[in-house]
Amino acid sequence: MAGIGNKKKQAAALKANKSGFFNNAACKAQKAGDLNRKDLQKGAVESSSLEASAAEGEFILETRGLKKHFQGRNGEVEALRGVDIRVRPGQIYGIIGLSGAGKSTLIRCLNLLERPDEGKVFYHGCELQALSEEQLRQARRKIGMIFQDFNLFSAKTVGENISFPLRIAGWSKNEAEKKARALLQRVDLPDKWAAYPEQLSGGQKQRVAIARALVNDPDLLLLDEATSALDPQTTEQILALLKSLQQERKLAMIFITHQMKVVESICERAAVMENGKIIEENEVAELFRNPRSETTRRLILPQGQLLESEKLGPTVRLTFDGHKAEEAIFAELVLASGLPLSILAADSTAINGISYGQMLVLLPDGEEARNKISDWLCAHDIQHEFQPVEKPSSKKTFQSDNTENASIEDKSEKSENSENDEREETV
Amino acid sequence: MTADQWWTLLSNGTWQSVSMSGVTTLLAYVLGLPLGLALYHCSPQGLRPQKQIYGLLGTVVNILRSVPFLILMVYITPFTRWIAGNGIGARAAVVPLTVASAPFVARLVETSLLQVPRGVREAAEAMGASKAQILWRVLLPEAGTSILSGAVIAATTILSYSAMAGFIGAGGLGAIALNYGYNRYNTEVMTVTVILLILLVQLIQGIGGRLVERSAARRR
Repeated sequence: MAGIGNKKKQAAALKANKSGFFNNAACKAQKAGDLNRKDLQKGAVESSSLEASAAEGEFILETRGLKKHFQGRNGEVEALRGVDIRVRPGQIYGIIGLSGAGKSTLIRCLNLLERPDEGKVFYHGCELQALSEEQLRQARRKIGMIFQDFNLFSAKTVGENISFPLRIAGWSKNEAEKKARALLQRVDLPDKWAAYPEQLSGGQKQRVAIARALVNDPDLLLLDEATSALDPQTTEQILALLKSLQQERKLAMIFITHQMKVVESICERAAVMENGKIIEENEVAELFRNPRSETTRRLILPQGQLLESEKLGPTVRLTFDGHKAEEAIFAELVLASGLPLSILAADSTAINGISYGQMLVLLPDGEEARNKISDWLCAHDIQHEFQPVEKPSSKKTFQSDNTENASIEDKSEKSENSENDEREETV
Repeated sequence: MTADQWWTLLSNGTWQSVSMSGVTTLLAYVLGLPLGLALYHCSPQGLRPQKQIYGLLGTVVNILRSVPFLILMVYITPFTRWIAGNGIGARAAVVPLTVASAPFVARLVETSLLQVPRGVREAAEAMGASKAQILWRVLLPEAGTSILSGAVIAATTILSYSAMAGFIGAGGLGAIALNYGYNRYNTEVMTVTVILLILLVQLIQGIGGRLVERSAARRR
């Protein structure tokens, strides 16, 4: 009997609090329970409860040590090998990686579409795995999700699609439709209310999906390759829409993608995933200027160009921000070094309003030429990387100049990298 | 027999076949639809996978489907008598027909539900829908067209089963073909009943097909 009463109370608390999940009583009760349990196991009590309270305030979403494996046809596949991410409210966070890196598994673990084998997911400091089914549903209403192939309900009209999340949450038809119409207007498809999804183009479908994901006023949006099925122009329009919605609603977004362009144009911070692990994490501009892993380099530079360049011989990649882009760096480098250099690829990108240029330059053979160029670039404070990295010393001296990156972080990432390399070889 | 008598015989037979199949199809769905939902619900790709229950239901369905209809009909006569109060006739034939076709219908329904893209279900799950809401308000409407086209297949199959029911005196076109055509070596009657059966199947397929078309076209 007491159990039933409790449940009713919880349900009432959940209903009473529509504005924010993190305020909800059930969640607080859960946390209190957590602490009690922790009190029993003496040792780690203080540190972990401190951690929990820090997480509650700072991060809208946090994962700790997520692991997930699948039973594949060729044995076990470890999709996630201990993933920690932290996303702040209102932040656009990118997770980028080549296909098979575990990105999709990760994002599906964030709202427990997939249950991780190990590790925890915290939403506003509240552990999702500890929630009851009903509480998890309440939480999911505040976490919108957008998919690569839209996943609209084909038997429902656009209007029914958008109002559906409200209808299942118990809203009346009129109220739900009123709100859905406003959102359809917001995504610029006011005349498509009665259309069926199959009558829409890809971009229009994604707009409907966005409206549907926002109708519950979430504070976090999970985007699983949301633009990968769209052409470049439509991608840009959808990204612009997402960006403006994010600013309007102070939304946090977690963006899974394999397209560096997407990360560059919308994300503030990003993590690079490989082999089920985060191998690099930083502000996007920093990630771009100073990539520390092979995968990141591969993602930044269009793949074809990189592969081609490997065949041709040693290269150096230069990165410079907007101010330097105007100077005649390359010409000066050629004049100063007196070497016949050729450009393999050049590109420019805008990240958070600042433009960055990158250039892939083919080097003449020989240590001397390389040293000459390295010295000149260091003297002029231009970010660069040699490939293949034969002389780690030159890279190291350069990186130590760069005070923005903590060296400890650097080391840990490097060791992870070498681990990954070994694994690849054994596979 | 006069032409008039033939006419009465054949038109009665046709009506009996149609009503027998119609009632059976209805009953087969009354039993088969929930069974199909249950199969889907506990299937490995279902909403709440339950290996044992799925295995049990699946085995029962497979056993019923693997017994040839003619044998099943004779075999369950005591059961038929208990339900219908009579072992012979059109009313009685509905019992074995339903027993034979409900498992078939269940599999059709299960398959239709399994064909709904996984992502659509996940979208509903991600927006906080409960399992019941996903089943009734997402999966069933999404699978609607497919379930309808399954029903057309089921109805034609049941019609051909009902002709076999002629063997237990169920009446209908099957009985006419058997009694007048086969036992009395009357090829014309045989041919006429076969043509009538073909026309009926064409009719069901035509009407059903149009309904399916309309249900699908709504979305295009």
